[in-house]
Amino acid sequence: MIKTLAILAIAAANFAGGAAQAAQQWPASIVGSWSTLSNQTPVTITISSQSGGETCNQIAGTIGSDTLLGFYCPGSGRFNFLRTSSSSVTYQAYTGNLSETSFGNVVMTGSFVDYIDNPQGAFSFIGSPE
Amino acid sequence: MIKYLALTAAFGIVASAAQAASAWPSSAVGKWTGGANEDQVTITISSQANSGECRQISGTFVDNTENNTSDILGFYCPASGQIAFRRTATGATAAYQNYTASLSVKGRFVYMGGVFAENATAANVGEYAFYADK
Repeated sequence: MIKTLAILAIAAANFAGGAAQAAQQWPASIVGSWSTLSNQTPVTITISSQSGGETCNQIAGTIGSDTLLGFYCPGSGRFNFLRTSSSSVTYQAYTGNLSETSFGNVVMTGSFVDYIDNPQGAFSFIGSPE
Repeated sequence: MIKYLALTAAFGIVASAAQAASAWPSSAVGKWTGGANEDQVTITISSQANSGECRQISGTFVDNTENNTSDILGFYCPASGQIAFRRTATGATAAYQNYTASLSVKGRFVYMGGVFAENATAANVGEYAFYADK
């Protein structure tokens, strides 16, 4: 009997945990400055605008000394943007998600691909609001 | 019971060996036909670098539904099957879409499956499915 009650208690706790997770929302906006570590290079991402679109909104800004253009989806936390140099060459693409941690802060995590620099391939990146 | 377990173990070993034996293609070069969101597309990868873990690729991307042609530039990693490329207007270097996918081999066919992101057209920004085979 005690064993059965213990199992029910665990199940209830799990259900409560699931409800708490489902209640979390992704940020409505990705606009702002983010300190990121892109592969092994610190770089500041500044997203200056977020507008238009339906499920996802178009975003624009800067990454380091380059421009970025892409989208952010407030309903899922998903984002993607292209990194283009001042000479109008798109050489990287970033894809990831915003997540709210258990401490209540927001983190930006994902990966980027490099089409031109050596070595080419996919690399990780992570960021947090400045 | 022991016989059953032995057979199960043997099957597991055979299945693992078969999966490990499937290598990814050494090259992505060739003509691929498939779909990107709701459009029928032809992707022609005309070059692939000879060295590197991931090797630069280039070619063209034809949207047969919209009747337009564009350029692609990216990389293919023979050791993992990963492929990624940007899509630009012909002759341009600033991209408006980026594609990420993996190659898979089944029989004589090679499949490319993944997602692409539209970044430039505000009304359509977001991620969409795409696939192709050759």
